[in-house]
Amino acid sequence: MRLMGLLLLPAGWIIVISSMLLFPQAALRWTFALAGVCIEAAGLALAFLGGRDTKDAAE
Amino acid sequence: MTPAPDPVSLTAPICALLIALVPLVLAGLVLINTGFGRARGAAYAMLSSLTAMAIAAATYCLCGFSWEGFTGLPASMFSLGGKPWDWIAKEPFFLRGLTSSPSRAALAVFLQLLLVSIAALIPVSTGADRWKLRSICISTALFAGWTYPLFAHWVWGGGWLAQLGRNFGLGNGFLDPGGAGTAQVLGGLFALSLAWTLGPRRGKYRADRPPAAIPGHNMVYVLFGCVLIVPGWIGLNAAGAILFAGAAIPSIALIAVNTMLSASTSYLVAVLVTRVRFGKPDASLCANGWVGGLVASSAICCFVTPIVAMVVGVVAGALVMAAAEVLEVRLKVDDPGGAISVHVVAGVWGLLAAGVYAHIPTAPGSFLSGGQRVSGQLLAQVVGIATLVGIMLPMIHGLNWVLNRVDPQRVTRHGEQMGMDMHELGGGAYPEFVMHSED
Repeated sequence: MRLMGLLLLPAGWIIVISSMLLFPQAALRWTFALAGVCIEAAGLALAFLGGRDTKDAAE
Repeated sequence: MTPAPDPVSLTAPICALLIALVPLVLAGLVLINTGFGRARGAAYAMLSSLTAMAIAAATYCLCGFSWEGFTGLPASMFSLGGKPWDWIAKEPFFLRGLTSSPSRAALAVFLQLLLVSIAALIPVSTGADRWKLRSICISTALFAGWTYPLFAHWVWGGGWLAQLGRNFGLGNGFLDPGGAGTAQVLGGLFALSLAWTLGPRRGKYRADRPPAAIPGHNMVYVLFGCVLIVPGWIGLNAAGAILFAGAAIPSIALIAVNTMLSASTSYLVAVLVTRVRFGKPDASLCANGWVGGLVASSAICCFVTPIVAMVVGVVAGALVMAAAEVLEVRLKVDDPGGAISVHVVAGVWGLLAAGVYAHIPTAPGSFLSGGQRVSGQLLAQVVGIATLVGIMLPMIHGLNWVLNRVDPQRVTRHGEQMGMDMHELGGGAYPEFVMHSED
């Protein structure tokens, strides 16, 4: 679960960077950048939840 | 009549004096790290903090500055989408590229040696009572020799984040005059990775019970550290603003005022929240609020008015309080000193606030009279934060994971029970604590 989360982080970053390269218009840029940020947020959430499950099992 | 000294000729010596204050930040952080740990690991906390600082400074000198460089120095670039992407510097090792003249690059190296040490101290707090000295040395060397310089080049060395404005029309590029992202968030992400790698201290989390409170052994150290840190932070923000954001000498007063106001309001929010929540102010959380305000101030110190700095501090204090609880109770991240909530959450907020509130001076020296909002600045800040979380965190955690597979970073169960002082150093910080019979 944590690995999945950590893989989503660079995926979100690539979308953020792509937004600058592909869209000169501000509105589209923002839309794609926010989509990338949302994917990073999901990755971070998965990484945190993965750690929580591991600790529950360990204890 | 003696003519007044030229302000430009005064910049280098004043900047050097400001940087000379920054070791107070190190002293404050070392005290905070030690106070938040257990009594049986106090000497080890001090020693491991000193070790992390020493390794960070030496490694940065060896190869860190070679990757980081400074604006105008040689760097490697590639082209993507028709734009140049400056991604790493090409300076020789051991600082051999620097001349003895008091150039801006030489002053930047002076400041960076201290900043990389500050960033390296942040995870020491998170790894309290369970992080082996050998692992501290190796992890810190990788951090100071590769991870930190790479991101610092992107922000301060004329790298692609600094050029977002020129290449993509995003404001003035990623703004981070005092190192809120480059030192604080990066160090905090290192701390988060370490908390995941090491796991919680024994006895912290038990099934079907709320997390056990393991209070720091000396709140006086922690609170004195908070006081000690302030002049250093003012020097750090002012020197960073001069070197990395082009601020002029007269703006030092505004930077000092903003730094102090952000810390004060953040601290007061922490006092209020803990007073309402627990009936009495909580010393450790109030200390976190104070440092959180300072961290947030590093991103905005030279770009906002004092009232905005107060607003940024209020929000930083509230966010740090909320994050500390969520991390400890909901996400089960054992962070004895609250480094992740203080340095990551407050730092990210500060960087966003710079995008929302920053007024960029229109002419050199016009900081006190305000500047103008620049379109696209918020998106530049979002791209910088996305890079910290999307690239730097996986990189840091990948390195930590490999190190942990090769040589486990956590001490043995026996060592943890014995205490880090006895296990790693063979003697305690407070020998008079040992109980003796009357005879």
